[in-house]
Formats: sequence, C-alpha cells, structure tokens
Amino acid sequence: MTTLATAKPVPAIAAATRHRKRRPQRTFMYLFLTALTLLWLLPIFAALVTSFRTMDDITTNGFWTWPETWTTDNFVRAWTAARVSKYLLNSFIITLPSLLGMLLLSSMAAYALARFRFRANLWLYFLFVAGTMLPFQILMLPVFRLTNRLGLYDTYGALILIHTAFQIGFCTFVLRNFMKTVPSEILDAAEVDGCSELRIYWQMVLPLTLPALAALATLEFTWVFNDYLWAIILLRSDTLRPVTAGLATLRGQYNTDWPVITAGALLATVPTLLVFVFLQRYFIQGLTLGSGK
Amino acid sequence: MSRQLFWSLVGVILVSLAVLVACATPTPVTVEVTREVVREVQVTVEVPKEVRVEVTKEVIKEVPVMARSILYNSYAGDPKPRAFDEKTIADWNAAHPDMPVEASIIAHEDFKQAIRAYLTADPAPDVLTWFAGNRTRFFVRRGLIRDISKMWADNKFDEVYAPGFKALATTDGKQYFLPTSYYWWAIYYRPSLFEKAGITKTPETFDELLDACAKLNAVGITPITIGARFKWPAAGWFDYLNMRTNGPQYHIDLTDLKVPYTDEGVRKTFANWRRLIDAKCFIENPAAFDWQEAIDPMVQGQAAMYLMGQFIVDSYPDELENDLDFFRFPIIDPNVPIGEDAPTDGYFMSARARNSEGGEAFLAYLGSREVQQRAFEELGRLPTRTDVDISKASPAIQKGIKLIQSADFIAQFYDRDTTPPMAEAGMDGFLRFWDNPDDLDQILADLEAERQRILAEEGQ
Amino acid sequence: MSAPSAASFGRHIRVEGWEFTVSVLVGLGCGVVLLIAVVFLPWWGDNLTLNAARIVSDNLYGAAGALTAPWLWLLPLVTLLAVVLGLWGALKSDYDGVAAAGMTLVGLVGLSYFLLTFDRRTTSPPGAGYWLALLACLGLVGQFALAHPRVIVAVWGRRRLPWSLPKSAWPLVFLLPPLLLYFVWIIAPTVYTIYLSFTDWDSVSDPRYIGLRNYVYLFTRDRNFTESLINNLRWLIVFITVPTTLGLAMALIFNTEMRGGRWYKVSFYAPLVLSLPVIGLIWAWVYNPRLGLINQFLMQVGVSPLPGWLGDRRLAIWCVIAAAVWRQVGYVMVLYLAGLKNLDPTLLDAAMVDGANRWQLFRFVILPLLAPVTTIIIVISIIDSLRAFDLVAIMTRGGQSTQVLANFMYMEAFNNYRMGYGAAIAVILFLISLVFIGFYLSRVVKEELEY
Repeated sequence: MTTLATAKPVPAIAAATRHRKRRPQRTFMYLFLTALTLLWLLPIFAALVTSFRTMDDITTNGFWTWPETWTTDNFVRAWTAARVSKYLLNSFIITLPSLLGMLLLSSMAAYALARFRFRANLWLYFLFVAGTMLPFQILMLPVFRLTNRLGLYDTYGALILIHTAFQIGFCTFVLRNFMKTVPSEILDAAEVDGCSELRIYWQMVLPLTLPALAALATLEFTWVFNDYLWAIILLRSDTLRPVTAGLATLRGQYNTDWPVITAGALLATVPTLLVFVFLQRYFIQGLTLGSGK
Repeated sequence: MSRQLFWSLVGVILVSLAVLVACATPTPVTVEVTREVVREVQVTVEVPKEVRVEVTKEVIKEVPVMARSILYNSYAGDPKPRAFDEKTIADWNAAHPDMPVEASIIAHEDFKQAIRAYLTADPAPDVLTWFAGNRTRFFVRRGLIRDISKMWADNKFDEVYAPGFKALATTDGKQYFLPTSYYWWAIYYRPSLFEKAGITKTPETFDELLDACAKLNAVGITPITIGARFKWPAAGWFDYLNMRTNGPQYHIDLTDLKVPYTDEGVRKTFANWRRLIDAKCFIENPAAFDWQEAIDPMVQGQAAMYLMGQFIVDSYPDELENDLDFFRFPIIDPNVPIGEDAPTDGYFMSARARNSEGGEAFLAYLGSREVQQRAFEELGRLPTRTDVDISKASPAIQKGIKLIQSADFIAQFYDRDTTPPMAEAGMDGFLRFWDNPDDLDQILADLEAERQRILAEEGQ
Repeated sequence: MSAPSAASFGRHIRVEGWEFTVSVLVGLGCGVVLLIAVVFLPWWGDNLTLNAARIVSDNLYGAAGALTAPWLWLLPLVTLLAVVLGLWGALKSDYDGVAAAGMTLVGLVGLSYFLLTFDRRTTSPPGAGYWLALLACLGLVGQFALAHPRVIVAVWGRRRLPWSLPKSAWPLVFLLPPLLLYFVWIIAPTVYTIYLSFTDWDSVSDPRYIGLRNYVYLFTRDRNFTESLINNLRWLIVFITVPTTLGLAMALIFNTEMRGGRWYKVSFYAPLVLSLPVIGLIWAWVYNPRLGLINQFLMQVGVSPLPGWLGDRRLAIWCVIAAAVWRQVGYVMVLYLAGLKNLDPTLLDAAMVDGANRWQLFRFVILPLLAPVTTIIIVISIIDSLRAFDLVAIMTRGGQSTQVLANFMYMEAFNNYRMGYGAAIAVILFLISLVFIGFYLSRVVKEELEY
C-alpha cells in the first residue's frame, strides 16, 4: 500500500528528464496544458458564469457571450425558494453520523483483523474486500424492505445505516492494511504492561492510524454526501431529502430556468468543494489508499 | 463467570441478529396480508363484493390513529401548480391546526417513478395526487388504494359530480379515486407565426395540416415542436392519429389490449404519422427536451405548433399568452366519430394510510367546491363538480369546454388508458419509430410480444 | 461501603453494599418505566409514530393484522429482559456482570432506536411518554457506571480487569458490531436478492417460485436487456481504455517538476468532487441541442445540421459515457501519480546510466513497474462501469437507447413491480462483477501471502 510517509515527491523521473528540456518545447507544453485545462473546466466555468446571469440575458444573447448584467438573485432563489438550504442541512445530518459510524466500526474490525491471529481472519478480510466491489443494485430490493420493516423508511436513520454498512467493507480494507504497518511489538509490550485490548485499540492504535482515518474521512465524506440512489429509494418526504436528490426537485420546479438550476447545483457542491480545497491532501491520499497497494 | 458473561452477551446479540435477519425474509405478516389479496383475486369472478369488504375491513383496522398529521405527496412540481398546492395546504392547516398536512411536493416525473415505492412503504403517504383510469386501477388491483366509498357517500358527492366522473373513480362498484379536474388536449399554436407563413385559417383536415407544415417550413419556422424526453408527449400524437384514423372505439380496444399491435389499423395510423415525419413537420431531436423545454422554440418564434394539454399555459410566459391559441386536432377520416383526450386528475388515499380519518377529511376538502373553484380560476383546470361557477371563464376556456362537449368520445390518455407496462413499452416504441420509421415492423412485433406477455401475466 | 474482597477479584465482580442496591434498583426501576412507557406511549398524547408502541398496543388491544414491523416486538421483549435481569440481580445476592451488562445492552438498543426514529416526529413536540422512555434508557445504561466504577476504571486504567476475557474472545468483541451491521445490511440482502430472482413477485403478494423463468425471459425475449448489456459493455470498454491512457499521460506530465503544476493537477481532478447528479445536470445542459454549450458554439462556427447529442439515439449513450469519463480521468491520474511516486528511483537511475532514452525508460522500466497500479485501475474501472446508474438516471432515464443494467433493474423493480425480474437483472450484474471481484481478490491473496 501507499505508505503516507513516502507520499512526498520523489522527482526521479523529473530529474531524469529535465536536462533534455528546451525552452520552446517547454513553452509549447505550457500552452497546450493551459488550453487543455481550460477546456476541461469549461463546463464548470460555464455553469458558474450562467448562475450569475439572468435567463433573459441568455435567451437574447446566448450562452457564449459575456453577461450584460451580473446577479446573485439566482443563488438567493435557489437557497430559499428552491429549499437548497434545507437540503444541504439534510445532507449533513445524514453524512456526519454515517462517517462517524463507519470509521468507528470499521476501525474495530480492522483492529481485530490486523492484530489477532485466528482461523477465519483471512476469510473475513476477503469478505470485506469483496463487499467494496459489490454492485449496490443487488441490495436495493431487500434493503428497501428491511428499512420498511424496521420502521425506518423515510427517516435519516435509514440512510445513515445503509451508508455505514455499505462503506464498512472499504474502510476496513484500508484501515486493516494500515494497521498492519504498526509494529506489533509495541502493542504486545503494552499488553504485557497490563493494558486491556480496548485500551490498546483506543489509545494506541487509533492515534497511530489517524492519518489514514483523516484521509478516509474526507474521501467518504464526498462519497456519502454525493449519494443519490439510496436517497431516492429510502426517503419519501421532501423535507428529509439530501441535496443530491433535492436537485431533481429543483429541476422540475425551475424547468427551463437554467441559471437557477446551475446555481442550485453549484450550491450543492460547495461543501464537498470546501473539503476538497482545505483537505485536498487527505482526499488524494484517501483515493490512493484503497487501491495503491 | 467471565465465560458465562461472554456467551450470554454473544447470545443476546445472536438473538437480535436472528430477529433482524428474519425481517429480511418475508415474515408471516406479509403472508397474512397477501393471503387476503390472493383470495381476492381468486374470488373476484364470482363474488367480488364480499371479498372487497373483507379487505377494506382489514385495512381500516390497521390504524389506531396516533399520527395526527396527514402525510400528503404531490406531483405539483411546476411553479404554478405548486403555488396552488401550497395555498391549498396553507388554507387547510390554518383551519385544522390539530390535523396539519405534511406535504412533500416533488417534480412530476420523479413522482411518477417514486409512487410505486411510496405505496408499498411504511409509512405510506395518506393522500396522493394521481391520474384517473388504468393508472389508478393498476394500484387498486394490487390492493394499494383505499376504498373511499364512505367518504364519497358522506359528502354526497353523487349529487355534485357528473356520473361520468364517478364511473371513472369506480372499480367493482366502489370508489377509489377522487377526480377533481380535467383538461383538454389540442394543438396549441402562435397565430402571429401562422400569419407570417401566410396561413389564413387553422388546419381542419390532415391535408391542411400538412399544407400548413409546408408553408411554415418555407419561411424557416419549424412547424411542430415536441419535447419527448419523458416519452408521454409522443403518446399524445399516437392517441390522436389513431383515433382520427381508426375511430375512438378501435383506439380504446387497442389500449385495452384487445387488438394486436400488428393489426392493419395500427399500421395505417403509423403510415399517417410517417407522412408528418417525412414532411419534416417536427422539431429535430424531440427526445433531447422535456416538454417544458420544448416550449422555448415556440416562445422564441422558431416553432409554431405544439400538441399539448391545457397545462401548457402553466409554463408558457404570461406576457405571450395573448399570442397563443389552439385548434382541434385535424380530421383524417371524416367517417369516424371524433374522439378527444381529456385526462382527469385527482387524488386517492393509500391503503396503508395511517391517518385515515384525517386523510378522508382532507380528501373531502380537496374535492370541495371551494378548492375546485380556485383550481378553475387560478390554473384554468375544468372542474369535475357541476356546481362550480364557470360563468366568468375566459374565451380560451370556453373554447376548450366546447371542444370537449362537441366530441363523440372522451379518452383519458395513452398511458392512462392502457396498463402501465404496456404504456412503458408503447411509448418506447413510438420514440423508436420517430427516430427510425423504417423499423416499424420490428417495433410493432416487439409491442405485440409485450402485449402477449402482459395478457399471459394477467391471465394467471 | 465495603471494598470487594480480594477473593472476588479474578473470576467475577462481587459488589456489595449500597452500590449494589442502588445499581439494581436503578436498573429495575428503569426497566419497569421503560416497559410501561413503551406500552402506553400512544395514550400519553405522544404523536410519535413509534412502531414498537403501536405494535404492542395493537396486539394487546386487538387490532389484528396491524403488525407492520414485527421485529419491533424486540424492543418490548428486550425491555422485559431488562426487568428480568434486574430481578435476578436483586434476588441473587452476588450481583454479577451479566445482569448489569444485559441491562446496559437494553438501554443501548432503546437509545439507538429513539435516535434513529427521532426525525419521524416532525410536527408536534414529544409527549411525556417519549421523554420518560428516553430517560429510562439512559438510566439503564447509567446503572452500570453506578455499580461498577471499578470495572470502568479497570477497563481504562492500567489495572488488570477483575474479570478478563480470554485472548481468543477479543477478536469477536471487536468484530461483532461491524459484522452484525455488515451481515444484516449487505450479506443477507445479497442472498435474499438471489432468492428473489427465482420468483415472480409484485412486492404486494407472496413471491412465487418460478425457477429459471426470469433468466430465460431475460436472455431470450427481452430486447431491453440486450440493449443494456451492450451499453454496459460499451461503457466498460471506453472506461478501461480512455481514462486509463489519458490519466497515465497526465500523470507522466505532471510528475515532472513544473511551475504551477499543482494547479493543473487540481483542475483535472476537480470533477471528482462533483456529485454525479450535479455532473448529470451540468452535462445535460452542455448537450442541450438548442441552448447547450456545444451546439451554441457550433452554431456560431456555422456547423449545420447541429447534432442532437442526447436526443440522438446513436449518440446518446456516448454522450453519457463522455460525461463519466470526464470525471474518471482525474481519479486515474491521481492513482498513477501515487504509483509514480512510489517507484524506486535507483531503478530509474540505473536505466539512465545504461543510456535508455525517454521512450525506452517509459516502455521498459516505468510501465512494467506501474503494472500493479494499472491492474487495480482497470479492475476499478470495470466495476465502476458495471455499477453506472446515476448519470443515466439523471440525463436520460434510460431512454434513447441509453439503458444500462443498473437503471433497467431499477425501472423493472420499482416502476413495473416486477421485483423478481429486477432481482434477476441484479444477479446477472452481480455475477459479471464476481469475475472481477474474484480477480481482485486473488491479487489481494497473493499480496497477503507475500507478507
């Protein structure tokens, strides 16, 4: 796995290739990259510009013009009339407990798998790994019924539970591999000192795993926050919908009013964007944790 | 002791695990309810009434009314109907603080998809918006809709609702649906664009329609716009072409699955459709737009006509409404009776409603004269009650009423007249035809196969 | 107050004196209160749709067929258990851990139940019964602390526990909670879906066993299924080729030290943080044939006729896939960048010394060294393309020949009430992924054995 310690650049290839670079080539590459990047970001950029202009402006001048007037009215409308504020709150209410639950539970499982030797160890590990790849469609029907039966249909709890459960596999996989890197001698020594396993787990292993936990948390945050499927299956009330599902309602309400819709879509992105901007390092680490073994 | 403690902990957890797992498999409860339903199906032929009574008893009993609020799910997602809905709910809540309505208003298309889950979920909403016809009967047959005959009788709706609407709400002699409004379909057009193309009078025959298309094309205006992203607007074209070609009776037989889709009559309908497509009457890529988006070309003067329900005015810009008119779908075969689509909307209660008492009261309110009067005045929907004052109707509405009154036959709409799986497959087929008219044989064969499958399924 | 005798240490706790009495009384009292509260909630003016209460009341007071969530018998049952445990603890003179732990468990179950159903109560404030039940649950949890401060100290402190679990039991303690959730929400549903796929079920009446009929129909008669399968295949092929090569190219470029490289990188993986519904929304707008970004541009350039994108049956699925690729490239790039950073620099240096040119360096050193990363990326891409749902659901709803298995399954199950049929589609999807899951697992196995 990608150990986080080595995640600083090893510019070997860079060093290997640098001395061959010539100036014009370099300029050309910069130009090319800049053009590519701009093209890449065009949809987002266009959406951003659109969300600040009026529909009238667009219908008369088209999208490919610089707006005549700038307005923040679209955001105000999306925030209040289109209830994006409420949807965003719901998203947080669903995401944060799921995050807490999945990290706690999976770190427990990971601890057991990484520290103890027992017969079913490897099999359980595979069970979790396999779960990370499961197509979630196969769970749709039974989970819908199960939540129904448990009286959890149309509650935040329904979403929190399924998200927690569904992500346990991936988190366990990542954390277990990370915990394996903690030398067991330290833990054994603590045990000899009379530390209970519970305490070793909580006071020694978890702090050591903190980098992985942080990376996982940022990654999982965006995943759970961006979920759409479970929200439309397990919720009925508009008042409970997370922002991803709420956007569909928004689309129905402001059908051809693209500025309001894009404004809503952008607002829905703000939390994950903030996470991305401020916790970027962790986010990237999270991405590589799972696969860069 | 430690071992004992450990194992008892394990035991407790295992027991709860077992119970939880048991929930994932069908438990006796469903079986119980189910047995009822199955029996119902078996007995329907002989003594439908007795069984029905039994089922409803079962359902009514379920509800020791604790939740005093009324759960209401609505598809009034478009801005104007949403405002209307919100006002209705606010009025109700002001008058009934002890029994407030908890509303979830979501987009039309989302609602159509989600309602299936709502009705089998718990808690199911108490009151829902829906469409009359087969779309309701589909749920009635599955025991998902509550019998509201008592509410109907208590409020003496017989006296104020026309018999036709009551018939629409009735299955096996019981009322399951509350029809509250209906509207007409017609070809909406912009007179100013017709003028620009030199069209002096609205098309009354199919040839005149083709002629109008040619003239509009000549001046660079797309004759007909349509947004078929959600498929059903295409079904409007099929309805009308089929009714005008083969007559309404044939159309109703077809939607009742009594006529095969490979029938010669259906082919004639598609042949007429093809004439329109070949004459480049339609906007390109209809499936790229939803129906509201397809209004834009009309607003911008790039398209002239739109076959649509009266609710088009909900999404049409107010300032342009004086340049919007409609005409009856042109006659193809003058020898067949005239059929019109006039879909009826309304409300029903789910069989799993928790707050049956509140739900019925709210339903009665929705069916009241007061609300229908407002729907008529604010949205232009035609009331199903005979006592609504329509004397102040605008000329457009009077014209619409006349359109319906002069029809020989009223159909609901393709996706309300035929069964849901057939509607799904049919509308898919219409769009495939639209994209590739040469593929007609294969499309009709597929539709026929689906019809056979549904018949076989229902025959079981 | 008497300290526990030395003899009582080691095997089980023996608490005597007032702590014992208080603890038992609190536990017992809370159990009784909880039981009463749960049973009588509906009559205490609480509008909480607390199913447990409703079920008990329905069944005690005779509303047959009213059971909607039978498992909720569990709450009153477990509550009863708390009372029994309390009584047992009271009658037995040495109050041992079982009773206390059992009552604590009951309290936890109750608490989580209240927590999970809290948002059900949307209109009026909770009634007295609700608060009482909540308080009782808290009390049940708290009694443990009352009677066993020493146990708690021992667990957290450095002292050896008065009773200790055998070492072999610890994995179970750590594994049980996650496994429980995992089992109930992930594994059991998978098995259940497989069972459902052999039935005909409209979600209302009983599932009826029909053998392989669903599968036979799927493979022989259903054109939608073939269409979805082909679309998934297209998705898959594009997904393993385009983002992988593009991502690798980007990674190689950005791995060099360049000014502002960070910002270029950021812009390429920025789409990753957007949710799929947002991406669907933005791209649906980009593709709009009249007002969309692309066609507006083409119009100004003078292209005619303008392509219909999502409205064009031949183009639609590729448009959806393109949007997905847009998001995926950044992901692949990040993974490759990480892989490049982990390469052993000495190997590269050695190659350089041997006089390899850049292409040779890439082809014969870097690429083979990146092979493990590539494998992972391909497996992830395959699984992702099989799972594709959100974009199709948002952009076309499976119309315009863009149906994919996931959305097809959703439509059949939740739109046409053919649950068994939908389950069969899900199982097929599962079987296809199983091949790749197996492949992935075998890789993991290999690595494990290397440890």
